[in-house]
Amino acid sequence: MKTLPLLVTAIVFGLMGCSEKVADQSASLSTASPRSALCTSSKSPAGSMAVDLGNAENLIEQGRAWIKHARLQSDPGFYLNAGACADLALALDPANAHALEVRGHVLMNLHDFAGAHALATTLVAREPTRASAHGLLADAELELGDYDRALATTQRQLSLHPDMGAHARASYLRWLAGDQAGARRLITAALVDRDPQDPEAAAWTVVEAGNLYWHAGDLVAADAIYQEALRWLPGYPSALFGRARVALAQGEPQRAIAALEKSLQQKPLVETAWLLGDAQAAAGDAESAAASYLSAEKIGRRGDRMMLASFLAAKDRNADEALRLADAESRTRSNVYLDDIRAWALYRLGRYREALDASERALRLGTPDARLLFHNGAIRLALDDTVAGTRKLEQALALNPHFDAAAAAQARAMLVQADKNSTEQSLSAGDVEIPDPAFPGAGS
Amino acid sequence: MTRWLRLFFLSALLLPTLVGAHSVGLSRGEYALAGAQVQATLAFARDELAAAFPTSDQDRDGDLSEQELAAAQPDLSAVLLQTVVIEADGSACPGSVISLAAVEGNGVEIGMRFECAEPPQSLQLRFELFGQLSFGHRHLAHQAGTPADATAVLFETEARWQLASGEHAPVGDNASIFGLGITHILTGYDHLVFLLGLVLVGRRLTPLLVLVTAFTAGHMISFGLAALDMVVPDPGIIEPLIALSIAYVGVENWLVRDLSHRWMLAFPFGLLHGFGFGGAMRELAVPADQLLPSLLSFNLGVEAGQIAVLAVMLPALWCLRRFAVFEQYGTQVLSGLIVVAGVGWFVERVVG
Repeated sequence: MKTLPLLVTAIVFGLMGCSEKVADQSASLSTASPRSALCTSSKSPAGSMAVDLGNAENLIEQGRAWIKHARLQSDPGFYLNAGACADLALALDPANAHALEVRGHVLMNLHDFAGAHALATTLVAREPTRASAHGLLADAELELGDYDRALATTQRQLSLHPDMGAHARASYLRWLAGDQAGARRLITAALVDRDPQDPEAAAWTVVEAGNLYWHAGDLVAADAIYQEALRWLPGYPSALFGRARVALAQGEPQRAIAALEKSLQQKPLVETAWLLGDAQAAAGDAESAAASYLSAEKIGRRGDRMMLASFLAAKDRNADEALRLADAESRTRSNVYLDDIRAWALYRLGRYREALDASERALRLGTPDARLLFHNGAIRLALDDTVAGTRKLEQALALNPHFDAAAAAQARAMLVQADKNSTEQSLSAGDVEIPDPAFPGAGS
Repeated sequence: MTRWLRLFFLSALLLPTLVGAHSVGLSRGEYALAGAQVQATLAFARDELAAAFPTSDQDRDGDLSEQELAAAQPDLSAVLLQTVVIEADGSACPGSVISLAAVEGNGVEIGMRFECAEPPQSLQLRFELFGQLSFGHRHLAHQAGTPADATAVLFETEARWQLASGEHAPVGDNASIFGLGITHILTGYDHLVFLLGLVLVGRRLTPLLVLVTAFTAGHMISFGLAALDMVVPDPGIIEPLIALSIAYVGVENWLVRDLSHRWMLAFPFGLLHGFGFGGAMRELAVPADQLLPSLLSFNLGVEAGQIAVLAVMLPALWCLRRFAVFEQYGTQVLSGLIVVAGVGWFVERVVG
């Protein structure tokens, strides 16, 4: 026992002797909460408003201001600032409904739909007459694929407080379900409540109205409405995108390119870079188009896997990855567009039966979107269901013949091919009657 | 705030969020200036790095395993060295990536070191990694030694940050470093348990004082060596040995009653424990010219904390010994608990 101290001392000094100077990895990250830094960042949108970290109401106002700022700046990072303010307010007052609502909107925008749904459900249960809580709940329900509940919840919101947001939400839901007239009526009601003090919200709603006309193939009306949005908020990226889409459909790629470059500068989205590539290709600039498509991929990889999947499948650049991305996205949300992307990726991979199942789910509500119909038609043709396939393609082209320059051309070619195949089959079967080569509505 | 402004902000919540934003990442960086050297510890979410560097995600599961991370280290390091830049007085300081490891909770911790030519008068961080990360990514940058609320929020269009340097370099005054020393000992439960084990069987004051002095001398020596970066043993070896020393003291308490020679054991064990304190001192990243006073302050804080603990512990033990039950069983039971704690910490530190 007496030799033990010597032994321990020897071990310790031995350690000293043989030890190397290890890299200092001990500077662990500060455990202090970064919330106050995020909430009160010097880039505070409320300008000179001093944030009182001990005042829940003050923190909630700051959180709302950050949400507004995120929308105006098209920078989702500001939602982190808003979330920090909400968390600080909730630390002071855990039951504060306003703070919970700010938190819910942050969760929605950061794609935590399940979290937003749980929070909104609690909020609605606690305050059943709070219209905005119903709005939040409806958005979460829709993203999680529960259309019927979303519709019912929006109806309750409309009954409680029929404002611009409630009408716009109801309009979109009606459109998703194929009720174009109802959707237009509701968006018109939404536009009545436009507030000049909030041009971004007004411009957003006007663009939603324009989209209804675009999907119906009414280019002139859609363009006029997008212009109206730009009057509310000059340079508004979504309106510029809408106008570019119309310009391309009208055969003016240069005008489309100018608008898309401006839009992309402010709000880098996959769909904007994608359409820019299409416009450049239409203008004969293949090199710029290729660069824009690469840019679309790069943007998608920076946080928008759903649109990246859509792009990769549509352009047949990497169907495997598109499917993987869509499957990953389906772990957080479920909607008709995600089903459609999965369907098209499966089609590209030659898995037609699965593709049809997914496409049927995409069309389950009767959404009047030519792209969904085109995909369904193409898949059916691949499965030799010529009659239903051609009908869907015709419906797509009849609804909006300009829905996508490349896809619309593909749809027309498919119809011609289907017609040719049908004729050849008839002839080889000994049927001497030669049918009309054009299907009704094809190419319209 | 005026009523209209309140309504203006409120309307942001009324619109549907049908067109969602992107998922947004958040990273953190702790930057410590010590003389002419800047140490940075960065923390990222693994899935965000996997998306930013898709070739590193070999199995394409959207995450980076430890193996994938190890394989990607050269490429990641090259990108980090190009995009995380420390400028001293207008010139970029040569950097190196000194560690890159997966950490609990979907994290990756990256250690970087920048060697500037001399202690800078002006120090700036350029964080240019945003172009690779998710849109809207935020980097929370904090300089060691400054208050927590001095954290800067950096993003793509605000990617530069001025760190405090020169005469404004954060060190913390000696009083606050003294306080940190006290806090460190009071929250270092393994050291407190060891201290209890050492004094548990002592009855007479003189051998107890010799014992505690030997332990203190031991840990002051090794603490100084570690804090001055002269001897920095691997914590992977030191920490389990500290745990074993606790278990050993517990076992020995069952066997000895005479403390007269125990100081010979307390001294080398003190050396072991001092290396543990040294790590905490290095976290402060004190500039070289202020190292000695800071070291002294921290050490005094540790000793003050230890005296405070003994001031409570020894009278309590003396009181308890008045009870026959404690005399008969208390020491054995407490020693048993000390052994259990020591063995538990040992297993945790070896396995964990």
